[in-house]
Amino acid sequence: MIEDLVSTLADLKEEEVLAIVQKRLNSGEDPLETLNDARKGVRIVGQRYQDGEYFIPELVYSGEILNAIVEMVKPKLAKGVEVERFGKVVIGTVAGDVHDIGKNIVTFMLDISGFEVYDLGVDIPAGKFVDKIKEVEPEVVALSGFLTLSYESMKETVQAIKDAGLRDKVKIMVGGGTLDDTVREYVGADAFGRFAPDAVALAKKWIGGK
Amino acid sequence: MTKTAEEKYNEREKRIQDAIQLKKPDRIPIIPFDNGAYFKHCGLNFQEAMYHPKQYFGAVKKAIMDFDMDAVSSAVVMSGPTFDALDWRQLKWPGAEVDSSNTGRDTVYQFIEPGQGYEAMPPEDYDWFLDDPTDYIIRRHWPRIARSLKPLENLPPIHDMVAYYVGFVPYLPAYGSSEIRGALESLMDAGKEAIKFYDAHYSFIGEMAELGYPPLFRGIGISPYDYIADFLRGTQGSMVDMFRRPDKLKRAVEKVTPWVIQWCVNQVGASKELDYSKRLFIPIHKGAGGFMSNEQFKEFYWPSMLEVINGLINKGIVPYVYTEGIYTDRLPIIKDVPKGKVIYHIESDIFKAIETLMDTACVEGGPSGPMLSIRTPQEVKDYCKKIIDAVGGRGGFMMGVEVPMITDKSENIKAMVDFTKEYGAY
Repeated sequence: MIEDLVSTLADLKEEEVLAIVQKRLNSGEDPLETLNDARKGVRIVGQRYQDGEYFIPELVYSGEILNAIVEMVKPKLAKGVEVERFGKVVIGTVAGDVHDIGKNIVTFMLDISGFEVYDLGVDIPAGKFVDKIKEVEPEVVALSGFLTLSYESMKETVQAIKDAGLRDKVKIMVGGGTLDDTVREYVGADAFGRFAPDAVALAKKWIGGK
Repeated sequence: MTKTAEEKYNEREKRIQDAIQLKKPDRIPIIPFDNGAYFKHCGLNFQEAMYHPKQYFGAVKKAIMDFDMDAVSSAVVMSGPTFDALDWRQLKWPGAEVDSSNTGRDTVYQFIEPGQGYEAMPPEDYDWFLDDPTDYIIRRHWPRIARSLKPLENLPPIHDMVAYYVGFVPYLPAYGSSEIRGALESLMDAGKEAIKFYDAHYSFIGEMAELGYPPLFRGIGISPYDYIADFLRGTQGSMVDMFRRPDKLKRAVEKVTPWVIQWCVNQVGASKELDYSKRLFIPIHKGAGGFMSNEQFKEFYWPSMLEVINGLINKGIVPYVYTEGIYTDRLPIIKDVPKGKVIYHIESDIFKAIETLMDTACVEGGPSGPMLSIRTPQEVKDYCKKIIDAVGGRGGFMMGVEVPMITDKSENIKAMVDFTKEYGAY
């Protein structure tokens, strides 16, 4: 019986997963195949999270397992091998706010869903978003914020993007546990989300992807 | 005839205590938790609030009187100079001597997670923490969260210092080194600043009582799980621990549970009978919906939290459990507490909480942050009406806010207060 990396990872059986990976690497199989299967497994974890079967701890844990696999596979991979990407997203927590849990989860979810994500970090001034948009030309910009005060920074960031003449080149989503449509309208974003899967659904709607 | 301050104090206190005991009060108490709206109402900003305690408390006093709230319920805005003295890593705050925010905008102080700007407790340290927690806190944890205390990582272990030639004198040279002296001096300097802050705080509480305003709570606690997850292992670390080392995580949570109870008791004192005026604020964080499943909550979070709740009630204290985040799916679980002895703050779906919890615990909640910051007074009133209608003339509810108030729209706060007093009168 062939041990199934995809389903074993989806079930978060870390020890078994790592044993399978080691076995497959030893067998001389293309390490890229192993990595692709691992990513498929993590995508199932993401799907189970979206379906409400898994929660954030499972998501975080699957990310940790994937990191461990990447460490094992990396030395055997040819340089410059890249997985297929559907589009680009620039993400960050807006100026004045250092909350990063939600942003990190969204980044992770977008990444495993096949988007190229540029995570600027937390407490990011409007100008840095503008610079990054000019540099990588993303389809989507995601502004994260948890504090009520972050609405002002979101508004300023959207305005700065407008002032730079880039507003019609990107779709802007705002995300955070306290947001609603009032805030979305106030800051001038295209959509808002309170939960990580909202961000993935929006990116897929705007960019496409499986 | 106008009422004396003492009469008003007793009236407000009774209103709150009736609500906690699920009795019908004369009207719904209005006690929104503040996190800046009060001093903004008086033209003060966050930085001024953190660096000038007397001005800060003066502004809070004025706001509480202007709005005529039923209790003093404002966030523990802390002392900037205290943290400056320690080169504190665990918070970012406006006016800090280092690492202040990028915005230039005056902003609320924010907690910095372990691993984000300072090292989180690594998993291999669990054993050290479990074996000798005080040693661990002083020699590993403090050096991480306060840069001025970094030299303490070179302190020799205190448990060796039992007699003149056994540890004590041999270890003393460490205390003579300039690094450790510097660290201890920064601790003493911070202590001096803390005295100033608490002097201002206690005289404010005393003054408010004389003016007729009771404190909504007299002390602050923490859930045992958050002790580990918020402050030692961090969000990510604690989540991974649920899978990789669940027993260590549980042992650590169990270890700190009696300390948490004792810490709360130390602040407000113990009594045999439940004293409904002795309310203790316990914000809870990492057990929110999304952060873990109901099963994980029941396994890792709730048992120790329930122990704290029951432990405090047994010591005569009313736990004011401030749930942060979404608890809608957890309501049947957290309902398992003694009847009429607990206050639950609710951030998510107040209507569901009123429906589910109110026959067991006092529910507190109200308009959202965006509503108070962006919407009109009429919209705020409409929302409060919806809530008061859901309460339906019963006891067991206090009007608060969904998240601590930061709004500078005083007219929205006034709308909420005035409307609740009028429409929420029984």
